[in-house]
Amino acid sequence: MSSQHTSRARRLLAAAAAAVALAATLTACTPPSGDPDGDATGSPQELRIAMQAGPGTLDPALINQAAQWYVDLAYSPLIQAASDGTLRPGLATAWEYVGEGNTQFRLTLREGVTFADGSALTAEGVKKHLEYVKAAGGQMSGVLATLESIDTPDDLTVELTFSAGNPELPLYFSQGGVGIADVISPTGLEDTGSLGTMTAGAGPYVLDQSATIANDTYVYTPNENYWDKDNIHWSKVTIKVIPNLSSTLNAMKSGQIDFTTGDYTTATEAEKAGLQVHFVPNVFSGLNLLDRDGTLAPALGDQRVRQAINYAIDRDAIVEALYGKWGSATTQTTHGVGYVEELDDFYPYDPEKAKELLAEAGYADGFTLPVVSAPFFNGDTMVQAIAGQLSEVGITVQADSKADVNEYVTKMASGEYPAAWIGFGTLPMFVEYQQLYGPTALFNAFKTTDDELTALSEQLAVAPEEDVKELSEKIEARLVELAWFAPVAWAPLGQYATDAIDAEAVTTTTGEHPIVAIVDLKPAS
Amino acid sequence: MTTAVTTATLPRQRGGRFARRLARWLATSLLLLFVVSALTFLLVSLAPGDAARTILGQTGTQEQYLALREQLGLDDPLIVRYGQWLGAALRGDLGSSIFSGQSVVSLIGSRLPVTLSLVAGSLLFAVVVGVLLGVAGARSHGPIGRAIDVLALVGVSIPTFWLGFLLVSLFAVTLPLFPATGYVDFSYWPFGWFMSLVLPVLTLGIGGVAVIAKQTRDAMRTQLSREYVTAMRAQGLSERSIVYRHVLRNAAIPVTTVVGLMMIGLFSGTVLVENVFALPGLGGLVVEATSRHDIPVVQGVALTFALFVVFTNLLIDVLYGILNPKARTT
Repeated sequence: MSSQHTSRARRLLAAAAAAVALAATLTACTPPSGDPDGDATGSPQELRIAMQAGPGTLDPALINQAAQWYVDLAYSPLIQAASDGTLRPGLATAWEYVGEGNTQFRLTLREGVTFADGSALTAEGVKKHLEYVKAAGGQMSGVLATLESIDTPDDLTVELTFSAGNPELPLYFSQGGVGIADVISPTGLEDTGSLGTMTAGAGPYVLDQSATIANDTYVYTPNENYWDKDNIHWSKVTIKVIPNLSSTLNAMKSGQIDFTTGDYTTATEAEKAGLQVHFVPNVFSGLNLLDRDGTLAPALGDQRVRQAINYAIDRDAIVEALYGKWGSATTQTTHGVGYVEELDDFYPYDPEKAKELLAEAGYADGFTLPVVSAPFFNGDTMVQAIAGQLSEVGITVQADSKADVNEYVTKMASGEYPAAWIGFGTLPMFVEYQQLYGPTALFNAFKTTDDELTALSEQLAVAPEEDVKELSEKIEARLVELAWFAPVAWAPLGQYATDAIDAEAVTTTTGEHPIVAIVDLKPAS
Repeated sequence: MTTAVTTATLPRQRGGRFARRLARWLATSLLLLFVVSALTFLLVSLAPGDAARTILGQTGTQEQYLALREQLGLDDPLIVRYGQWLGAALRGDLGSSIFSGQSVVSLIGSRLPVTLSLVAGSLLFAVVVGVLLGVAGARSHGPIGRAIDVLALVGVSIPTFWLGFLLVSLFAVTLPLFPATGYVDFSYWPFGWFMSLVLPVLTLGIGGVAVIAKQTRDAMRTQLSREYVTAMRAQGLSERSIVYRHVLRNAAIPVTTVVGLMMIGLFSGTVLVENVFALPGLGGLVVEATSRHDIPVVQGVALTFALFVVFTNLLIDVLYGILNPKARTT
């Protein structure tokens, strides 16, 4: 009898324990409030973005341009660039060059703007912000290197004087110039050491530090002080760092992510998965014939040889093999202002013509061309493809691949190689002068100059807006004729979006503005 | 009298031996940590590029680059920079990220639970399933044994990367049972934490299942052929008791060694698995920090991994002693 009682008591106890465990499990099965990692239960008002790399820092003065979305959400630029590149007022309601020569620039600030931390937008605050960005030494400090003075005649006017003309200042004062455009609040500038992990802007959202894990998950909530509340489209924005693009696609297919940047290697899979896929031609990939004076490789000092290289490349075949329908052939360095469609036919595939030019230059038997290359953006494969075609006209390419991006850049710019693979994103022609082909440009390793090119570029620096297109086109034509480069293809840049995202902002990007203005993304109606 | 003196000195001798072993372990561990930190510093510093070039991107001029290098203190000789880091580390200060300014300790602290959850889960999965399969294989000379051999070969051969994507494709995309990416904090939502770890744990642990199953089966078979087992059977002990109370305990000694080595391997495996499942763990942190040349963060994570190795070895020594009393006296 006693044994039976004990047995029954044990069974009752076990049943009670099981009931408690079940209740606990069921409770645990329900998320407390939404899903911190953004699973399929996220509401349509929540925007979930995937990025392949974290920002490193959130300090606008030090952040890399490729990570601009992390700060664009929380900082309002002085001039707002839409996804198609058109400029509209941001923290500045008006902007203009003063006088001629593109050296003086005036910004009129929006009245009554307060930052997320409650401090007010003033001309003096913008001045301190620009001084900080210039001194911080980040990517954009070079643009401000020629900034001579900042005047603030009144509380809402900022007048900048540069020592040299720059026709692209409106671009730099929009998101394109991350650190310059994204004004940091006076409170934020009091403790710049904290800017790496917090936001101090006047943008539509503010970083939720407690929900953020550095370089993994960034959570933004609406900024109650935002000056344009009608343009806050989401109750919450999360940027999740997913280093692997295939993992990102899986996350999009399973409903965890709404929007990301894509690349051509996954574009077909994304299309099959029913995602919105929008690509634009942006990065020209090919050879940078660095030794235009013939210092290391005398053959390259002869324009006919450089042109022969351009004639010897079957661009369409390489594009088809490397990028399929997502790429296109080119001979040019820009797909923005300065791009001339007809110039893409300047060097038709003509190996016989290439041989003739080589013979005229005294290289009928060909020569050996060392090329420094890199694996990213399909660089190594591009060089191999080019090498195969150049061998048909007697040029032997000796490729030397550098796996690390920094090593590749260092070697390319060192003057140790007569040629290099190049993957260069479309930029306004004046910026290309500074970075790609001008006498101080990093990608002009031997600092070669051409009188005509220099004259045109100097005119461009001081040109009024209406002359920029014509001058840019002339420069592009000269670059193609000189054959300083052997561009082969436009490697596309683009983005994937689920149906939760309105297509308008996604599909309006262009070659010169390949990246969506993240604050313009809206929920699908 | 003599006996009493001998008995009294035994604990003292044991205590002395323990103290000597502890001192040796501490000395070896400190040396290991020093070597790891010095080598890591050297390798990251000698790798092409630096933090200044990363901040400036590909377009910064040489003048900007040199100025930023000086600003960041990267101009100082390597030995000076390492000395500064070591001095601070000895005071418990691992420094801050060059990029975000966030303290390395807080960065590691925010990611440690993820990596520990992943490693502990994978280890538990590998040990439980591996031992059960190994025991089953040892007791069956037929198809189960052969199946374990095949499984072991497949489990070790499958690339983690590929397995991860396969599992995601099957159980997150085709059958939406588990999340494809991401991690949920245990304190926030225990069930979400469990679900977010299922696929990563399977991916990381499956190779271990195969290894442990094979090791357990072989060790069990060796033990089952020993005379003491025949004697126990002759005494009428149940087969269940012989296998689980006696044979498995003895077979566990070589398996423990394998588990220890595997545990160290699991930490390195987290780098790939965290990449596939976008988990915010130490593996992802060190990959990203290395690519940016963020030396303080790389140093901090390398030290953390080295500490894991040190304590795993200690744990295995202790377990070995528990399972094999002879090991305690040597």
